[in-house]
Amino acid sequence: MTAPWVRLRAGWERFWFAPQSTAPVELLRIGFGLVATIWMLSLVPVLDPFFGDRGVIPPRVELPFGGWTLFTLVQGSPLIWVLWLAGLLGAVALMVGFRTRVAALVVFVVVMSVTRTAPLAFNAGDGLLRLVAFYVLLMPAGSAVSVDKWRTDRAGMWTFPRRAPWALRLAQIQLSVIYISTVWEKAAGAGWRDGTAVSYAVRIGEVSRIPVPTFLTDSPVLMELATFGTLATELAIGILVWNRAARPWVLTLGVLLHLSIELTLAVGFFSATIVTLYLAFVPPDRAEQVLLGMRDRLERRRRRSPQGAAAAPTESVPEARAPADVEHAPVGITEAPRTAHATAPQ
Amino acid sequence: MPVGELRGDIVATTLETDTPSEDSDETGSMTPGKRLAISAFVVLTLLGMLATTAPRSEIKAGLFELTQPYLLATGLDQSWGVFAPSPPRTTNDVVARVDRADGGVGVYPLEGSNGVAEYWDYRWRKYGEQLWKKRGAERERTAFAGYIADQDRAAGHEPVRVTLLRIVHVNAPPGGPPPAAGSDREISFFSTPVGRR
Repeated sequence: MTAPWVRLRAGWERFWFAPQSTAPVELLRIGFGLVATIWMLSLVPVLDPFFGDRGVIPPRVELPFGGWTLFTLVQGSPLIWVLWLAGLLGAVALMVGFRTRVAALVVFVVVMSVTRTAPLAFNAGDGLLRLVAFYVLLMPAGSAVSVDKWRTDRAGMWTFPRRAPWALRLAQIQLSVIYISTVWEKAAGAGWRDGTAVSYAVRIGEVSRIPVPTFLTDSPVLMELATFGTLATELAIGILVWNRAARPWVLTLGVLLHLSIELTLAVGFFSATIVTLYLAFVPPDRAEQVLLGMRDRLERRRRRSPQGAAAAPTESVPEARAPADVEHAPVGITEAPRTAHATAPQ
Repeated sequence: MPVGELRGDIVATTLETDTPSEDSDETGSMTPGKRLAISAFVVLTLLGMLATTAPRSEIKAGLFELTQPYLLATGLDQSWGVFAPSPPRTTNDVVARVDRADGGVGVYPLEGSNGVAEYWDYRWRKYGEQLWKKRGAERERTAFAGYIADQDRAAGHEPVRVTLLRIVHVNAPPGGPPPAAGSDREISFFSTPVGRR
């Protein structure tokens, strides 16, 4: 075998299969579970008008080969609420890590069914939610900081097994593809090239949330800055998110961009979902710090409460991380227990 | 080279985002067959991503044909042309006008609420936009007209025809003169008689 081929193969193995802590997966699972729960709740006011007996969405008579939706079985009947309830319970279970793989599957099936049945009523944010649901389904989610782990190994609840990150990598590539693709699509538009696009976008009455002051939208210079700045930010995220030094900066810019979109435009769950997908890029050691910081905060709160003080020290906290240690450790920089070895299969 | 021979490289050389690997639990137990299967799945998924997001070309068309069933089954079909190629230069409000048996007229604007309700009402706005924008959405327009007729009946009227209109308001370019007063246009894009459903 030639050296380039060997190097290529080694690089492939390293990128997709070199084991790493599952902390970023758990962070993404918790964040996505929260967004999916709110998304499921947001269906309540539209479920019956859209999919009920006299709903506005006509049943899908046929889908192209490969397409599917469970709404073909339940649309027009009260069973839509059963499917919705399954989705809600699945989203909550995913967030807390209870029967995590099954929960992720249920969330994926419900999101897929809803968005497939009414493609004209659901937007890019809903589509993104479906994509993230699919990737989370493939991940070894629930292997730590979850009810599943608590039930099988309480002492190991806050330890993070090392697993091949191939599904997380797919989610990371997906994020990059979204931004590069959107820049490519926009680059062909006159409005994005002449610097007026943002001015028009924030004045579309149907989606306008908070009216942007006219001194901003009427200023060609400010609108050019906003338009070209948007393109530059999106391109930077798509490419530089793979650079370790640039990553925090471009993702911070991305959060600011989506915050500004969220304030001015009513586009549903797009901003919340894509910022949640950013969690796929949190480095494993940082993700462990965040989750262990969360544990420490929970522990301190529990100790402050009268019931918690009476019960401490608890049996669920490993000795190495007993409350005495926690009190002296600054929040957020507690070291992950490196001695943890995973035993649970994927 | 057998996969096993690579394992030393894998553990020794960590990615920039990796913490040092002390065990290779899952990968160590992963059979070459499983790894190959996952690699094939990964390649298929990447090809699918490319097929659905790449610029229009022969390669894209070929890849899309090849991967479409997989994309549809997994929900990975996607499009990120939000506000592309350019945002619309108009605001389009969709309104349903109901002609009643007694000669009266009812008007049902398809508009979203403000505040928290926007997080579910945006679907109505999206639906309204697609009703006038999407060619071949006759079934959706008919279903929506029927839904409006039901609402009108529930309010105690007798609807005989529903007409869907969009009211077009032109947004001026930044720094440009505002559109003349009364320049809004009303365009009818669907009309149907409505009987009882």
